[in-house]
Amino acid sequence: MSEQRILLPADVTMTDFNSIEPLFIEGYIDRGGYKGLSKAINELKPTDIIEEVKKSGLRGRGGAGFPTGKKWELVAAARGDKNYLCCNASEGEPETFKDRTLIRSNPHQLIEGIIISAYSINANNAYIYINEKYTEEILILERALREAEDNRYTGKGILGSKFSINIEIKRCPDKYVAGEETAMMEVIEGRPAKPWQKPPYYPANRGLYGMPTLVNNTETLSNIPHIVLKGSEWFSKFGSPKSPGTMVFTLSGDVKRPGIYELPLGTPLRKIVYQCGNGLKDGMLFKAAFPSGPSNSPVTESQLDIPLDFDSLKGIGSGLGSAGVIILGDSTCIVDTVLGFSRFFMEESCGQCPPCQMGTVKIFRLIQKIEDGNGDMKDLTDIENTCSSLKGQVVYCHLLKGAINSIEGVVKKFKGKFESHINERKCIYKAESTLIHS
Amino acid sequence: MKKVTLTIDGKKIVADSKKTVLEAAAENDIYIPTMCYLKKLNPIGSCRVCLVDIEGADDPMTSCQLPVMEGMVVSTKSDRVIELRQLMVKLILVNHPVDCTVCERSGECRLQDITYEFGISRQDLKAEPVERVKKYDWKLIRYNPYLCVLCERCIMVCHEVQGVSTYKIKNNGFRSVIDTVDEKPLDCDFCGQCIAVCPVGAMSSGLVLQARSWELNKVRSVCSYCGVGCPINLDVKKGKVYRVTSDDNIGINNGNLCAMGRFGYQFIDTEDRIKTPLIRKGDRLVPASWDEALKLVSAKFKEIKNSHGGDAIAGIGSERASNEDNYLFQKFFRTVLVSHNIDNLLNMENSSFGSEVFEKFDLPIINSTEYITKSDIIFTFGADACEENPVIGNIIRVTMRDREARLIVGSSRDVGFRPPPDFRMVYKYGTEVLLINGIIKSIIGSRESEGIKEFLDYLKGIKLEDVSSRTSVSKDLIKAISLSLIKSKSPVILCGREIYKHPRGVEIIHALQNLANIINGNIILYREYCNSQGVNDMGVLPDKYPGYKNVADLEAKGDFEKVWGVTLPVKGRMTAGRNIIDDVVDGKIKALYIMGEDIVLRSHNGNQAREALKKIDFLIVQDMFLSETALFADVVFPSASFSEREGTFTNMEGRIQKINKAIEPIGESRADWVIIKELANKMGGSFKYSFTEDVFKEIAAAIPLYGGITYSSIKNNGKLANYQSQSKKKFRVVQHSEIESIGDSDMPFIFLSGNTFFHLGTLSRKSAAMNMLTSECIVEINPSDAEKLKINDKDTVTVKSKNGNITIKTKVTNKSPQGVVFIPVNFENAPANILTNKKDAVIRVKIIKNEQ
Ligand SMILES: Cc1cc2nc3c(=O)[nH]c(=O)nc-3n(C[C@H](O)[C@H](O)[C@H](O)COP(=O)(O)O)c2cc1C
Ligand code: SF4
Ligand code: SF4
Ligand code: SF4
Ligand code: SF4
Ligand code: FES
Repeated sequence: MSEQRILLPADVTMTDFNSIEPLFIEGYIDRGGYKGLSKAINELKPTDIIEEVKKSGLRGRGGAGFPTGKKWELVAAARGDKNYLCCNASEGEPETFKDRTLIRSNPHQLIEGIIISAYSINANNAYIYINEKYTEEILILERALREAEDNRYTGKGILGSKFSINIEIKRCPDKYVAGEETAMMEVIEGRPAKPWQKPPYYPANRGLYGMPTLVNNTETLSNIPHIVLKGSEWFSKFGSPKSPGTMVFTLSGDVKRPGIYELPLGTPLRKIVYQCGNGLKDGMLFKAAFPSGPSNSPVTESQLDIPLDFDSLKGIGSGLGSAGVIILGDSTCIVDTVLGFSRFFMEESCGQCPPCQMGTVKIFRLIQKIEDGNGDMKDLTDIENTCSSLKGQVVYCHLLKGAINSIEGVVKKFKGKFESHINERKCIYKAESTLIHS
Repeated sequence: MKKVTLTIDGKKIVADSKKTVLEAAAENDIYIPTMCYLKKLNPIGSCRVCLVDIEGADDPMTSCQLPVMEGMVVSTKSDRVIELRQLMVKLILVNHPVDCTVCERSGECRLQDITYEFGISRQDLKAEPVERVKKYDWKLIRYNPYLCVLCERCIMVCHEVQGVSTYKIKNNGFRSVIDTVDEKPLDCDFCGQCIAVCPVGAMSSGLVLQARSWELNKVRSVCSYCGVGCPINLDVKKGKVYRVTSDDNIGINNGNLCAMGRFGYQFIDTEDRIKTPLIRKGDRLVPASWDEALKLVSAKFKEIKNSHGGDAIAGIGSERASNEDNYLFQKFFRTVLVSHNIDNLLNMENSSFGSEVFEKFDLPIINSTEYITKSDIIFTFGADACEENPVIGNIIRVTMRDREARLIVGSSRDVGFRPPPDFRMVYKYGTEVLLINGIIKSIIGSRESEGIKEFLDYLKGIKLEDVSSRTSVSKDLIKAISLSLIKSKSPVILCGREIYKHPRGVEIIHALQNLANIINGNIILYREYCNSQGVNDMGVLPDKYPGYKNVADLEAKGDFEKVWGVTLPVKGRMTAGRNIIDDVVDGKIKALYIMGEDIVLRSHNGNQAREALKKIDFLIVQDMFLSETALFADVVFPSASFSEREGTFTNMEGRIQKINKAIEPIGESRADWVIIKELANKMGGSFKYSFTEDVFKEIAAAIPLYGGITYSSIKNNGKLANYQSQSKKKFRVVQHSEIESIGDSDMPFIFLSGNTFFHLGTLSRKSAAMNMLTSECIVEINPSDAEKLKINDKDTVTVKSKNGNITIKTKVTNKSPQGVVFIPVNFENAPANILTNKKDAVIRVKIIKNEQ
């Protein structure tokens, strides 16, 4: 196994989630924690830090891979009397647990990252926006925040400087779309989770309460103390040139050893399947991988050597997203899998954009028909047509585009599987499994 | 304001930087289709019908939400946006049962229009039907989710304009439907704003329409309830009013109405309308012909006039009748009966408000509501801005939204506001003058002031500690309020019913005028009824001619003799300090002619009114209904409702507005002025008016306030009468004076009365829809008082004053401060005016729990 741990504690195994012991403040400081913060406050100007983060090449781990330093620069340059920082720990994507793991194992790393980032963009108020179902992690964070305050890392005039920072936990409804950054603003301000149209306003220039707001993912922020302490050069040694650093992958599906793996960006897919995951279970053969949960086109066997980084995956029409990698073996029905995905999108659409509200139901119904053995070829073309007509539609967030990407990709690459469902008038995978059980 | 230059469809446009692309386009006559957009709401952006292409942007954007930017290049007609807009509508139509044949909104439906406009004739998308639950168990308002396009207008109008925030979107994705926030049956203001803004047939009135939109003829009129005077449309088909609607961008209300205005019209054709004149035969009132009835009255009047003189006949005009009716009413008395013995209930109760305020002191308190919309601080004093004249509440709320105006609410009850006001001040009833002087003192203390010396000297003697302890408003609050008033650039002060019904109302207004002078603000006085202002302007006053000319003034007498061609009486009011009802009780009046008022329920002394009506020799009541008062009558004249005739009302702003005839008069009823004209002519008068306009012409000629206004020029937004005060800022020393308090030592509660949200006067009680919302009168009492008396919510209690007692259910609420109880007026089953007898006093009561 070729793990490269920067973010996850080196000595903890990640296969048994419940056994992860959080590192509280003493342990964290023992391992060099909060040194990055004191360096930032005592030695660096905010602009220096932004420059360093830019140089590091760090890209957002929340899904889009947007250059972090550049985002900071936009927020710092925006004019407002009060800047905000929001740490996104909503993690509503199925089969993705990286933020949860990071908080559970190392809460102070995140808190330190938040403080440094807030200092850099001059925000005195920060929110940790965390999925309400992460009840234990919320308790861990609450304790860690109390510790940080007791140690004067947060509060008024931290470390003897003039900088003050207040960090608050905000619970986020367990809805996928609630993790979208503008929906997050709505939730924090007490309204239903519904994204805004962008442009004209991005959180960077007009976010929480109309003020410039930095939104970064939990993992993105967890990287910050390391970059500040060890420098951008050190950081960019890991990963690939355009996607430096490591990423915390959540591996799931038909592999023998699903779990959390921190790997350098650019690690080939084959390696994660066969080395980390120890190959497919039950003697299955590799059929497909979804590198970022249900929101991107699948990767097929011929593409097993693709490096897992933002640009390589984008190059083959897929995406890295937040690195929730789902592996499918050959005895799993991909039509059934994508039916599950389409149900997810249908359930999770907030419904404010007609194309998304209507489109997601329609696609779900069509796939269901085919999976149930009731579909015909017209339904398959209907799926294709619906996808392509929904593509150019004006919607307020990426949910619909993600849905189309993955469904269109599956239909394109595994059309035969749909056709056999139609021709046989049933799902052969289900038929087999009932055979085995009876 | 900053301007930006942009290009829309090749046209260079300069627009205000705060505008959206949609607004900038509209200003330049470039059409962009919309569905969810509504000018009076913040952009919602849910339908995507207004998409436009922006050069340099990947995707098209919704123009309703997109601010204009320098150098932006917009295309509203690219192939791509036209196709996308069509697709949006098709998507909305996917789950929309095209039930146009049975839908009430057919013909005025935005979805129908836009489908037609876009030429969508085929639906190539389809979806399986989704089960949804219709909300047909709500009162008055029904929601059909199958027709809902989820535009969210209803949610936003209820939140932004009505301040109730009743609705939410329940569920997400394709299961989304509208529901109440608590998912319980609707319990709200029932203003119907949500129905009005719904672009399709999803929100509709439970009063089933049974008329297609194209069959309905919209007749412009004015709401006949409160003094706001909202312009409305009476939607009529074949002689029946089917609904009341209102148009955005017209009049004071901008399309908003309150529950009474929108749903309270059913009194027009209820069974109880009086259809023929009635004459008393023994203890029964029997139908008679107009000729019979008019002859009888004219003979009786002549007889009394000959034997006792004209001023043995008295008349009470109406705050609900038109200017023309009231004008001819007083003219009939003055010229035919030769009597100045006329009055109206507002003046009888509080004469200073009927006339003195306008004439003697020249107070600029009749002002356009524009002062609210342009203000940065709104100070309501003695008003319940949510419940009283509700549409003013809408104006305040929208001003708070658009201008971030601050709100100060002062009242002797904890009336509050939605959204919550910046300052809430609950003062002790009767200490208003003291409080205002305290605020002024606190302001003066912190800045140089202009003004008369005596006033300043007087203020020197005031101590804030003292003000605070006597008004029960904390010193800090007084200071905070005065501080925010000083900072304001355009403050406005609104005074409500609590003030104009107050024994010290005029003094309070004077004190507020001093305050307004100092902070450079304007005062607006609420009016209770649709023509409370007009009835006074028209001179239905014992001591004033139309336009507040003194009866005692010989010059005025000469002027009116010229206009009317008669010799007018010199003698004014019968007995100084006594009103008509007092005089009836004293036996000085033989005949009484009441036009459109129910004095049994509305006079401030119910017992005395009953006594007077029993005593009077000859009583004529002119009304739409057999009111409690009409039951005593010797002759009843049936009058036509506001929907059956023309005329003008003058609202609280002094805005003259026109009502129009929408349906034929019910039965043999006639417009009030026509009845008066016939009676006058029967008695030898020469009332030569053929049309309403003829009467108005005379009004405009006789009253400078209405001078220069022609009947035909009164259009949608009415015409403001000439109230503008020329006077310089005047300061007067207004001192606090104790008010007599009437009640035995075991009567601890101060009794206050007023209107409720769903009822005003007796008309709303004739409307089934309004009675469905509330039909029971309640007494409001503070929780801690209730606890002391071991009273629970909805218990039956007896409220007892020195004057009488009524039995009533309780409502335990913080709105009533400790030691104060409140009972709404105008409920015939619990007439609150039985408790009161003296107008210049505070009435105290006790509450006794009834044993079950
Ligand atoms: C439907 C949807 C769901 C999202 N959910 C998450 C999430 O759970 N966590 C997250 O960090 N970002 C999520 N995002 C991305 C955020 O909008 C945002 O881009 C991100 O938090 C920025 O952080 P980064 O720059 O550090 O990646 C989501 C976006 C979309 C469109
Ligand atoms: S795309 Fe879908 S999830 Fe995103 S805002 Fe629109 S309706 Fe909501
Ligand atoms: S009737 Fe008025 S208060 Fe009630 S839900 Fe509709 S808009 Fe809101
Ligand atoms: S009920 Fe009417 S106004 Fe409300 S969301 Fe539905 S269509 Fe829009
Ligand atoms: S606010 Fe007054 S005038 Fe307007 S609709 Fe209501 S009752 Fe009528
Ligand atoms: S009108 Fe602009 S989105 Fe509906």
